[in-house]
Amino acid sequence: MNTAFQRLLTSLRQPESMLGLSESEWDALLRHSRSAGLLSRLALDMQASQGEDNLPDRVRRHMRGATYIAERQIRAVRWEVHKVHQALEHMDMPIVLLKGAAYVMADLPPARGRLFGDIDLLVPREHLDDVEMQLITNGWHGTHRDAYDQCYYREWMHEIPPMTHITRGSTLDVHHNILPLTARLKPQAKDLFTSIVPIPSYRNLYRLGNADLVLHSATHLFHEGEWGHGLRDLVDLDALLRHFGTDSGFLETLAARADTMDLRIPLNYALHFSQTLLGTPIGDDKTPARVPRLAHSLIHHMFIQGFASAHPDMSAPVARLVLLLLYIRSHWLRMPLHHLLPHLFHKTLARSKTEKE
Amino acid sequence: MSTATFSRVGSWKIAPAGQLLAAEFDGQTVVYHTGAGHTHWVSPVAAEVLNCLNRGIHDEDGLYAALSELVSEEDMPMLAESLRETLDHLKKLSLIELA
Amino acid sequence: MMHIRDLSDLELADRLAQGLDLQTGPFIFHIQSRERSVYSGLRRLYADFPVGEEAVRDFHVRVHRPANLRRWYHPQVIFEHDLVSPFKPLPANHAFAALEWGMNWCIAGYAHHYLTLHAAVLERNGRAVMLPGEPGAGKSTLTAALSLSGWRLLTDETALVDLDTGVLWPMARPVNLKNSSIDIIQAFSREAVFGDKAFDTHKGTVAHLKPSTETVLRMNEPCRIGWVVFPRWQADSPARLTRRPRADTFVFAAENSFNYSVMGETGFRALEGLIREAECFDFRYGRLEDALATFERLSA
Repeated sequence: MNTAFQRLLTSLRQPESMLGLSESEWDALLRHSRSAGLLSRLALDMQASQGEDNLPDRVRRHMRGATYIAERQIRAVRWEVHKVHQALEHMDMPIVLLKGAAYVMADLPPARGRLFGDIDLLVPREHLDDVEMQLITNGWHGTHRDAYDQCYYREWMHEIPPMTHITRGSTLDVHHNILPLTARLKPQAKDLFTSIVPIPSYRNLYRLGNADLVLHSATHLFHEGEWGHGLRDLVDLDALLRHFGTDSGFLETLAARADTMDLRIPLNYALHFSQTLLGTPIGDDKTPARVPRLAHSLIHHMFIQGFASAHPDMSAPVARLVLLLLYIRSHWLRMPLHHLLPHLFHKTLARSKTEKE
Repeated sequence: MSTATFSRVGSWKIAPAGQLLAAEFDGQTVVYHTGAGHTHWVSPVAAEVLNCLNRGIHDEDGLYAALSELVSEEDMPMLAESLRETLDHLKKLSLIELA
Repeated sequence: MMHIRDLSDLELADRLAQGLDLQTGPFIFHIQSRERSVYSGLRRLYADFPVGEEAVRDFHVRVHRPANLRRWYHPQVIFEHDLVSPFKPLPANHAFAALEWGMNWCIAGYAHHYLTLHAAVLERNGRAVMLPGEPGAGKSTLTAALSLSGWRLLTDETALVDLDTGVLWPMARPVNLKNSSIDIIQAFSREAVFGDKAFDTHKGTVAHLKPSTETVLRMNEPCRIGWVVFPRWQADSPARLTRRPRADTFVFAAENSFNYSVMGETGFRALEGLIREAECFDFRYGRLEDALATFERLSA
């Protein structure tokens, strides 16, 4: 782990440490954190510690700009959720917000300084077709018209192919489970619905239960193929663990839930890296037994490279190979080999086609 | 003064999930809803409708009554139509919604 | 303080190859490139600009060849800001134009400590005229002509509005002209100095006009708004200045702002303050001389 990466991690763990940075360290940190999608988060941390006046002028300006970005992102999510809710609330079913949208609407700490992309929803499988119809009626349209992609998303990824809104341009991902059907690990979607928590003032709108939020974040991260946002996702996880961890017994509940849903492995990884990189306080007697062994394994070092890959200054020369391996691994986890190879081949073809255009 | 009631659909509100900002220039009003994200120059009738919604007058009869106070005798016959169009227009702009 | 003109040819080329710090108004760009046209553009058009002296740079940009066949065969260049390449590759001899467009992109995308508007800004007698960018209206030609006629150029593209005070901040960078505008301005003033033309860009032929030394000297001097003028060139039209409603001007400016939607209420209030302070006009003209005369009267 090199100095640049270490510095970003320290800034996340101890925001006050940023006040001691030299100007050339700042020059680097602004770039690295921006590439990692974490500048807004650092800016809000700086604002919270009221240290902005002690920053070099140029740094302060960028931080200020980053806080406006963070606020804008929250506004955009709230509006988009409002519109989705308008389209779907009359359907007699729970609409479960996932990830970023859930953090914002439920006022959870990961929303702070976060950058948001698509809105992700979870709905009961039996309503999926109706949901798709309702969305189309309200201005969303499907992307990925190619039959292969349709199949990939619907049968293998557990979701309707991403839908884009015709005037707003925003994207919606509608899931009926949080892991692909062909995945090795097979959590049951109906279990997720048993512990959902309502979003205040929005009929039929929910978020996942506390433990499931953590598990979903952990699962998403450790099956991740695209590592540009890996560190940012880990930051989410750390924020969730710190927030819910104040309840004694949460970690026990979390471990038990992970066993029920067969998500023990991602949870182990999550706790390990959150603790190692971001210093998340996790009581020793609660830490799942397998975790300590990871520290010496190849997979540990590969994941570190994944997290550091947001900017070349933070990565080791071997990073590109590692990222390729992690990419393949993520697909290997999602689908059996006889599907994986044709899929990767198809994607490579599709990518080289778009590059020629 | 006309006492005709107006009731068509019911009650309206400013679109939630955002703030409605307004500025007046030389008697003309521009509005911006931070959620919907667009900026518009609105007619005096529309500006007054938004003002009423902000002040707690939500039902269409109430809006009609408030507007009647401001409109001249000769414009009164057109007020109902004007209000209907304005409400439709503001809804299309995502600035207001049915309450 | 060192300026680009103080660097020898070799020093300039060297620094660019490693990364040269260039100050343009409130921004310091760290520019890395080995491209000939980037070197020429900086040599000729940025001579009076300061070399940045701070350790914190606002933007780290590169203009470089891709690591594929297009490195040598019909060579192309890519503009990059910290791993992000917002544009398609361009022919290598358009490298300087790519840099200019890229610098504008960085400001539009990241400088959210200002409200940024798509407009030209020039100052005379302590007040600024803002020319919003209606496409095809001849704004750039007029901007260039004004800048050669006693008006101090703040920007040809990107107005920077201070969120706290409402003043406009300059960058003093070269004016981007295309096609016939280049010839018009060349004919308009013997003092006009251009960089190399880039032919067959997506905007046609493109060249950049060197800003005057005084404009560059005053790059850190903001000023208050006086007027917003929407120019429209029309052959044979007499010069006519008519008032444009502020409300309408506000809406146009908001829709042609780079970051108004990011700034929420702050942006709204900053724009409100600006428009309130300005007199707003539509302006039609057929001859540059008439336009200059009108603006002269306006600023008196």
